[in-house]
Amino acid sequence: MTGKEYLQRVRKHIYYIFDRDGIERELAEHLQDGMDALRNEGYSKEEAETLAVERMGSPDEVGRQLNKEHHPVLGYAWLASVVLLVLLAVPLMLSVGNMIYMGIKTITPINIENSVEIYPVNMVLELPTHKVRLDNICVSEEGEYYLTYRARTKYSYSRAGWSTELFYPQDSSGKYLGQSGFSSSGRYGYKEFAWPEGGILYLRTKDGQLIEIDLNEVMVNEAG
Amino acid sequence: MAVDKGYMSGSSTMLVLAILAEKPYYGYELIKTLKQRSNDTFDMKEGTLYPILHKLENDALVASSNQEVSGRVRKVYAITEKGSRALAKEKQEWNEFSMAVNQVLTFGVV
Repeated sequence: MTGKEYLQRVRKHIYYIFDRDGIERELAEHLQDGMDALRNEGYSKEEAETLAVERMGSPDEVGRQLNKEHHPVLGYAWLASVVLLVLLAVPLMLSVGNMIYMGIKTITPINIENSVEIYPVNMVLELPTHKVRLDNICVSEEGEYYLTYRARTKYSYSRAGWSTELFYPQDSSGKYLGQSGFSSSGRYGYKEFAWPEGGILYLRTKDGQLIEIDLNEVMVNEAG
Repeated sequence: MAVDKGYMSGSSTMLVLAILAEKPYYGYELIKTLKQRSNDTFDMKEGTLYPILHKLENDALVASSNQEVSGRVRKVYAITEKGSRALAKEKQEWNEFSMAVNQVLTFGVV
C-alpha cells in the first residue's frame, strides 16, 4: 500500500467530511517523518514508503476509531448551530445598528437656521397638558422636511422636554412619517418627516387629535 | 518484548498524558518517545495514536495547535490543566492497582 492509498482508506471512514483534510494532513506528516527516518537508515524510497505505511497499522481500524472522535452527528449538529447563530445574529446586528443610527440621528441637534427653505405654519395645538405652537416647515440642503415647533406646559413655565412625544407626523393612511429632535439652540423641537402622499401632513397628538396641514398651501410663501 | 494489545489500550491514555506532561509533542515525536522510554515494549501501530490524541482533545485533556517545527507545520499537543489533574488521578489509581497485583503475585514468595 502506498502512503496515498493509506490516507485515502482512512479518509473514507470519516463521515464528518469537514474534518477529513485535517486528519489527512496530520497522518501525512507522520508518514513523511517515518519515511525520512527510514531513508536515513538506508532504505530506498519505495521500501521506506511501504515500511512506513506498514507501521501505521490498519487504515480501516484507525479510520473507524477516528470517526468516533469526529462524530458526524455532533459535527453536523455543531455546524448547523453555527449557521443558525450567524443567521440569527445578522438581523440582530442590523436592527441594533439601525437603532443606534436612529438614536444618533434623533439626538443630533440640527440647525434649522441652515434650512434652504422656510415656510411659516403658525398653528397652535391645544393639548390637555401642553400648548404647542407650530412654527415652520423647513427644507434642509439635503431635501429633508422638518416641522419646527415650540411647546410649553400649561402648569409651569418650564419649557417642554423634547423627549416627550406630544404629537407625531403621519400620512393619510396613518403611516408614521418621521422622528423627533431638537434644534442646536435647544429653543425649539422639530419633527423630521417624509413627504406625505398628496402633500397632506397629519399630526396625531398624544391625546388623539388629528390635525391636518396642507403642505401645498403652506409651502407657497416663504417666510421673510 | 511487545505486550498484549489489551494491556496497552487501557493505559495508553495515561502513557500519552504522562509524556505530554513533560512538554508539548507532535504525534510522530510522541510515539518515538513512548517507544524509547518503554525500551520498545510499547511498540504500538503508529496510526492508533491519533484516535487516542483526538479523544484526549475532545475531552479537553490536551489542546492542539498548528506550529512550524523544523520547516514543517505540525499539529502539536500540549497537556491542559484538566489533563494534569486526570493524569495525577490515573497515576494514583495505577499505583494502587499495581501494588495490589504485586502483593497477590508475590504472596508466599520470599
